[in-house]
Amino acid sequence: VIPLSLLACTVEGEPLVLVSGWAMAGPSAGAATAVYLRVRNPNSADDRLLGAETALAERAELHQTREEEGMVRMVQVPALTLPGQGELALQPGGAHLMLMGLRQPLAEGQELELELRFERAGELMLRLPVRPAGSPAP
Amino acid sequence: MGADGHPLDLAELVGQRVLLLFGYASCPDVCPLGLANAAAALALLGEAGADISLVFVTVDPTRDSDVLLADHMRRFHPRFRALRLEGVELGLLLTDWAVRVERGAPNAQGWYSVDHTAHFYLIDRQGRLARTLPHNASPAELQAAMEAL
Repeated sequence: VIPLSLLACTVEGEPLVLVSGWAMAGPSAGAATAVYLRVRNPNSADDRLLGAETALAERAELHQTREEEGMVRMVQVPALTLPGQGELALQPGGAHLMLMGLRQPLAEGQELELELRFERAGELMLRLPVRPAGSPAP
Repeated sequence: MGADGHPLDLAELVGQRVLLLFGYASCPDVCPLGLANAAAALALLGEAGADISLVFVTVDPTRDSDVLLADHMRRFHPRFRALRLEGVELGLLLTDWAVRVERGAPNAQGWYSVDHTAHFYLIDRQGRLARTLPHNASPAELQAAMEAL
């Protein structure tokens, strides 16, 4: 028999808090689009965002926009740090979630259900509004 | 192609201040930020910016049709226009402006990114390049730079 306390070890501390967020309206099925959000960590220990999943896209990747000698690139990263007692901000022109292979066009006014996976806090289910490209950072 | 659906005539821009940038309509992060900041800068300028045109040159003419570009421009500002050139014509323009473009490998869904040098080019009323700003310049920075043109 596995003690319940051991099972509970997969999720540690207080739940994370979504401050705000939105997904960018995508022009067509098959395209890629970005998700921006801010998550607050009420715990003292750092956490890490490891990935995300949504039924509306084939894949969700963690990306970081970087400028190298004037070239602007989006680079896939394995994880993003959410500092203890701090915030992780995914914002236009910086770190963001990229939904690859939209299964349907993502239209303004729709909602996107998204699951974020954190190293310590486990899964965080979100429901985010879909907003037009160029909307203000969350 | 303008937001109004009419093709861009470069002669119309003579005597105007122009904000030129390169990008592509399906760009999921950098280009929308630039376009939104430029639209916000025009809003800050108000009447003082009435003669400023923004021209968005697509570096991805394969996916960016004229109709798609006009629709994309309309989302940001009624005065934004897109320029769609292909092949040698586009190549020459990119060389003139020292813009580098690298098409990424398509993913499993066939989608690809188009990495590119991303700056705002500010062109004065005499048609000269007066200033270059980084792609993530804020609306206030763009406003100040355009006021000084």
